[in-house]
Amino acid sequence: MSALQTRYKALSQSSLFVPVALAALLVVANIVLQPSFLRPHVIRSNLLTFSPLILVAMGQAVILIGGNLDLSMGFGISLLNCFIAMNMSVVPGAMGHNAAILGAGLAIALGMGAANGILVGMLRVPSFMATFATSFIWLGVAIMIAPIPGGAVPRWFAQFFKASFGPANVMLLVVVLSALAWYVVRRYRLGRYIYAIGSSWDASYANGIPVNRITIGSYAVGWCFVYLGTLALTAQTRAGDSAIGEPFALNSIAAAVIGGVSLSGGSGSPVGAIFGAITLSIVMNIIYFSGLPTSYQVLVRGLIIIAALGSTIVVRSAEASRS
Amino acid sequence: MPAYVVEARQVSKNFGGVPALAGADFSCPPGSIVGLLGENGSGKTTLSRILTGYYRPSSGTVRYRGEVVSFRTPAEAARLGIGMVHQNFSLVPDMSVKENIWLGCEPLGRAGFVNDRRIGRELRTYLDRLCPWIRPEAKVSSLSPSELQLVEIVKALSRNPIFLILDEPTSALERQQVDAVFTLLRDLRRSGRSMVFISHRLHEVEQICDSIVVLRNGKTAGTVDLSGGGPVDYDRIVNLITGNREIAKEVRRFAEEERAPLLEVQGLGDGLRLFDVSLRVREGEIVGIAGLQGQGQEELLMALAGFRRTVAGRVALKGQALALHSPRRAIEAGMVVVPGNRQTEGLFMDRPVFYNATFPALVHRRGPFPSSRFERETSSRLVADFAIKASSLGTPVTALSGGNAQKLVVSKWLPLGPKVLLMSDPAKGIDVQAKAELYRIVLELAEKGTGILLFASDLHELITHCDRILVLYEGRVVDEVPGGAVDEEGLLSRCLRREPSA
Repeated sequence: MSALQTRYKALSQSSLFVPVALAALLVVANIVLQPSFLRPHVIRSNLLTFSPLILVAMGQAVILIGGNLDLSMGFGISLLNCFIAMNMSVVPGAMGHNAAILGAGLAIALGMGAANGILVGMLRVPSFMATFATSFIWLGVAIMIAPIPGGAVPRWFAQFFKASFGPANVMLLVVVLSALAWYVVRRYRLGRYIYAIGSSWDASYANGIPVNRITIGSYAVGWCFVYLGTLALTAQTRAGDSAIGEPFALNSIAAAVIGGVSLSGGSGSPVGAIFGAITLSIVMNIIYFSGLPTSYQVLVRGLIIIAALGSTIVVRSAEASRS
Repeated sequence: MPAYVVEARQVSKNFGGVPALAGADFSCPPGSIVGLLGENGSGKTTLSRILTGYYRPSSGTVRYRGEVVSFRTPAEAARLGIGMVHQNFSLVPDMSVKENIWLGCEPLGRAGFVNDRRIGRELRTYLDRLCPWIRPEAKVSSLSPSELQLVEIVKALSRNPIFLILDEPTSALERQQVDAVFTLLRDLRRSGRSMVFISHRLHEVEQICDSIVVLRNGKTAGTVDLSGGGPVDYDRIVNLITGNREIAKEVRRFAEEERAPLLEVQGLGDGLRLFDVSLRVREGEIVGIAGLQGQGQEELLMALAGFRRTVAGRVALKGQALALHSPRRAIEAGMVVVPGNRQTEGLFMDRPVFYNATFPALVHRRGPFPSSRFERETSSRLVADFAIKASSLGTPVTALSGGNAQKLVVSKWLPLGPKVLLMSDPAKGIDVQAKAELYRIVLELAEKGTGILLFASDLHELITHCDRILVLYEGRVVDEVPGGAVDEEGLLSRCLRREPSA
């Protein structure tokens, strides 16, 4: 086997191969339909639109890898969004106050993650049920904070996320740094054990892994990504709205699965979820620029998502049967 | 130094009021290997799980190196040097061999990162001695059952245990591999380590153990000292295990006359593990499939049962061509399987006995919905006919011992009147008594004309029960011997494709 063949084989066996190929395919389709796609300002605006789902999907991926899922991310985002928008001050010079609010937001995100983690990890409530239930608590609190959409975030906050340093857009930096952060977490025992408990809970327990703490840890890490995603979303809308997060719960799961994360846990990576989220987001672009009648758009979107999910799963099961 | 490394006195454990262990005594002197024997359900697993920190005893005391201990988690026991080789393995499938061996006690490097490069000397030592061909980077999910078993053993040994429990560590291994494991265990014994060896194979227990503790119904039935070196009193051990019950003698009258062919297979292949397999099973005939580990035995049975896709070959049942595309089709044609893994493919473990017993009959019964009377009558008849021990018909199958569960797997098919029974290592991990009863059912079926295709990893089982034995090698049938005309050594050398040494 030549060196090239070996390299091709290694590449095609990498869990990132299918998600990257899929995302690339859709990017090409998008360029064909929308020639302006590669213009800097279009790239920037796409990045800004895609980044909340990218970050939330990364968080969902961490939890899925640990063998659970989180349906409460959507309304969790609503809660964080309302909290930040209703409490930040637009008065110039309120930096200290605003920093405190952002810090409190992170604490709330970690708290929601930890609550889910405790229900799932220590009380052994199936994650599907536990997070379905907590999602309504988050929504309830969000409605209490902002009964009607409102609030405001300072201009500088929105400007910051849209800013660019040369070619490096802040949003792109946030995504890249998040991916790097995951590689760091993976090198700690926490990261490794998240894969272990997702792959085989029994074996992990037998090996003396603190399974409860690791489950809680996976939720905490996941919700750090959710928090970043909420910041990106809030920078775009600049307002608080308790309904804003809802689609993220299931979209993030779909994005992670398209990105090669197994629903049964133990395999895949948040980096794959980045490409899954891009795929999912670009589908909307493509449909918009394809000139389809509005009444068909939702149906076609569903078909494309099914095709993407199907190709990921077919390729994975083909690999499994080969080995 | 205390006289025993581990000493359990009057240990009991109840699960929901049902005693799994009822005042068992057990002790293990330093530098020795103690065999732990007993039927399925006699409490061996419960006892080993208490000693390794999975369960806490309901009553009784456990001493470890002289001190009374009560472990809350397996991790606590492991920290004190207690190790376990699990029967169902404790390996994480999505991780590499190396990561698995270090799992739970990873060496840390700079900044608290897991240090992947530091593979301990022990890892290489044990891997080289037992399975040098396994790469430390290989994913565990890509290993064969025997390789999994070896890695499980390497993992336990790498942690340098003072006291190690091995739960049926040899059931998935070939003879040479068993020898390698035994040599290693003897070396460890010489260096003062203590071990408990759980097995159903008496001759292996005899080879490696210094003494035997026999459990029966959750109590210690007796101990046998083997260190004297005299002849081993098998009858006494078997009596301790069974409690002097008569074990039905396994006698097979080999079918003399030519009977009508039932199952005919021509040139069957799946392109991966099976190539050009042809065979014939006549009415009432028991045909054995022998071979070394992983030569396509299970694949052949699963292909015939409709689980596994085939790319070539013809199959006919009673002269009628049969397309093998689903288990449902095979069952409708009268070909049923006793799969190798009864927990996942044979039974619905959480469902009650009656549900499992009547399931095939329900699915494949025509006509109106079955009454609960039908369920009750069918299942109670099966339970009575096959002496399946269950506290009630409503008991979930998880509460049954391995042998009784396996009898249920076989008997549930009988209301359908199967023409061919495919059996994949049906006696694996079940005790002497249950094994005898299981084969009694099989022989009765054969008497009534059912054709049986039997794969067993224990060659002795094949020799005593089969009319003919086919030898598989790398997915092909390479040999055929009449059942009565060969001994274990002879059959093994045919499996190895070696001429028997004269």
